[in-house]
Amino acid sequence: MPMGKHGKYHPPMPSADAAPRVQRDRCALPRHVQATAERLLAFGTWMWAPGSGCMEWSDGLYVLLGYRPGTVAPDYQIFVTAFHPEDRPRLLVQLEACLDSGAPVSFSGRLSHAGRVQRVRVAAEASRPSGRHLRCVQGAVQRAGLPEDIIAAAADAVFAFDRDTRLTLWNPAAGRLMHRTAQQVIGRRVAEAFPSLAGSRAGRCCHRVLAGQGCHARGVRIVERAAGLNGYFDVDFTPLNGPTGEVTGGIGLVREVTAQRRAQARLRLGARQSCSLVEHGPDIVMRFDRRLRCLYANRPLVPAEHAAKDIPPTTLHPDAGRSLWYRIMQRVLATGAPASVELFVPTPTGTRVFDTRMVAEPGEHGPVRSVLAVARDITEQKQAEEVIRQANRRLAATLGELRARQRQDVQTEKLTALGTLAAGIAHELNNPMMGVMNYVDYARRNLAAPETVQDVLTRAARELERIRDLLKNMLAFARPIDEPSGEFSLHSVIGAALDLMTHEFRARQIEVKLDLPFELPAVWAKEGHLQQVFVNLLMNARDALANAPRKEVSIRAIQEGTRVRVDVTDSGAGIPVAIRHRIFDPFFTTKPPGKGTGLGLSISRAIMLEQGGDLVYRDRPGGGTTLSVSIPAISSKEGESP
Amino acid sequence: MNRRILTIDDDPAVRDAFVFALSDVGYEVETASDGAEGVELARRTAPALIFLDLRMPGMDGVETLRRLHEVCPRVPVYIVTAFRPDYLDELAQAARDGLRFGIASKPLTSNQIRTITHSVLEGPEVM
Repeated sequence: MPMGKHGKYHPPMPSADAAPRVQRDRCALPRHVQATAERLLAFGTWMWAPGSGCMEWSDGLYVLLGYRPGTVAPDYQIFVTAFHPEDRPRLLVQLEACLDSGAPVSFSGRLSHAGRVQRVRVAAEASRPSGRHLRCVQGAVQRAGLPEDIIAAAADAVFAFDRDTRLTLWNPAAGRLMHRTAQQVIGRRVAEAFPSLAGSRAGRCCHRVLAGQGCHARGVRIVERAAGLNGYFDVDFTPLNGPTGEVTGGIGLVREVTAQRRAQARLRLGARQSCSLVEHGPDIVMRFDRRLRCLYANRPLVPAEHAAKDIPPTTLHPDAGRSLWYRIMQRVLATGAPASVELFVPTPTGTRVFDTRMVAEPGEHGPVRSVLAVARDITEQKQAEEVIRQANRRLAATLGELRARQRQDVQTEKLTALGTLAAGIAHELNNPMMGVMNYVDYARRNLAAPETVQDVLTRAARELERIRDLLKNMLAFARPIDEPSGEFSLHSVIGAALDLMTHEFRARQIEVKLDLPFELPAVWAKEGHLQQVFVNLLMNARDALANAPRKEVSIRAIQEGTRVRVDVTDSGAGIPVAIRHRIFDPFFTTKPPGKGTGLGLSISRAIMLEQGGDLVYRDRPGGGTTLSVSIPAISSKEGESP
Repeated sequence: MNRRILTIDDDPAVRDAFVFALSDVGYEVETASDGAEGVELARRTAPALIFLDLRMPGMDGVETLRRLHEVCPRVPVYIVTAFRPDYLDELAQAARDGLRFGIASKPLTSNQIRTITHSVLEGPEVM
């Protein structure tokens, strides 16, 4: 790329009619030119100043100067030295053409110095586009393929300026960055090319550099819309020094880093957010290496103050279901498949439960390098689940009770229906019974029959009496539905029941023990029904004692909360365990055929349940049988207005 | 002495029971199979004692009792019943209305029938 500089120049040149003369000797190079040139060469571009004649650099590059003949002594000449003899004529023609037409030229030729031949390129530009008034050619010689090309191809903006802040170098990247071509800016002062930068930081930078200081900044925000600058930039200004150390100008490097900066900012933000998510998230996040050592934990499973002293807070609690947890992690490492486990971690305040999920974390190149474990404390959730489970169990139990009660209710209803049916049948049988009984009686009294026939009729009468008794028993179940409940004393009810049985007990030598506290509260029930229940129980006791060595019935009453409980106990053989649960079943009886209907206890129980009481069997350590009646008692308050 | 006994019962076996129990021992037993017939017989024959069933088709026992009271207020009446709860209220009401009657529980044996009859007609108050 041609890099040139419009320089100051001399008076107008006369027309070129004299033949160019080649100066073969070295020409003297003014010091400041040489210093500048060397500096620039080091940078990759060569520059020269007008009127400086010919230059020679130490490394053997030569500078060509051209003068219009007659204007500057000796005359118009272009000195081409050191160029390969074959290249010189071509070069001269090119340069003269440039002078004549003002068009830039570029020439590639061989330069020889100290026995070494290098290929270089010469670029030249006329200072003014009108041929006649061309006064000079200024150009640059580049070593072909040397840093000039790099500068030209560089992505960063590169420019140079002299002591006067005139721009002497302007690469295409600079042109793209600041929207000015080399032609627009070369040779102009920075302040002229970019008026808006005059008082700006960039402008100040130029002066600092000319004062001999470097000026470096990273990520500077520059908004110079006139200069086309809007963004973040890395800026490096470096002074150029002459041979004696004086500052001859400066080089600027500008790189736009807006995109990087924004990407970095985004990355930083993303990283910060990710970190925050992990660190402050609700879950405990841990990373374990292949040997299952904890590499990272956002916080410990067990708070530090609770963890064992010799265990770093980031590791697991030593008792944390270690074997299971570790086995699972090893499997994750081996297979790469995710796994989860409920981890029970004992702490001084109770065992905590963690729902722990583990995933394999692949290394950069291949196999699993580590395991990520995310543990969530689900203790409260578990506790809530347990509460629900317990509630469910209670519900199930309640439901079971309800069902049992329902079965019982059904049973009671059945018994009631049965009672009604039995009563109906008994009533219907009464009339024929009465007839048959009297027919037999009449026959027995009036038949002049042999003794055997009389005997048979007597037996028939006896059997009929049994049927009559059975019917009476059944009628006992036909309880008047509308007997009202009332308040009365248990002493009177039990006394009446005992009165009915006294004769029976005496005849069988059964001893009765009565334990009825005087202060028993009154009860609220249907008196006739209750009496029937006690008679039933006493009759059962009587039958149970038929073959017992010791014959004793005890009746004992106590108050139990809002009820009075009466235990009727006999000293008989007791009820075998296997059939205890059946004693309240209708038609279940342990008595020999003809001795019981099997309805007594079931009816009695139905009667008690109807009245808000109960009748239950009670285990009795000493043997025998205890049936326990409970009856709602009347507190003194309620007793006043039953 | 009037030894006529009237038994009012729709069941012939029951009527027979009274006939067999009492005719042997010198009583004259009239029978009626329903209330209306019983009241008519009572009016015509003026018995010394009436055994009355409670549950009968047509006029029931309690209603018959009221009619009998109108026809022959001085004749004692024994209700022979198995104490069905259905009629107890009405019977209680009848008692409150001033009607007098005895109650015998079915089934009755010959001896029981005779004992009741004797005690009402001849003996002192036993029942």
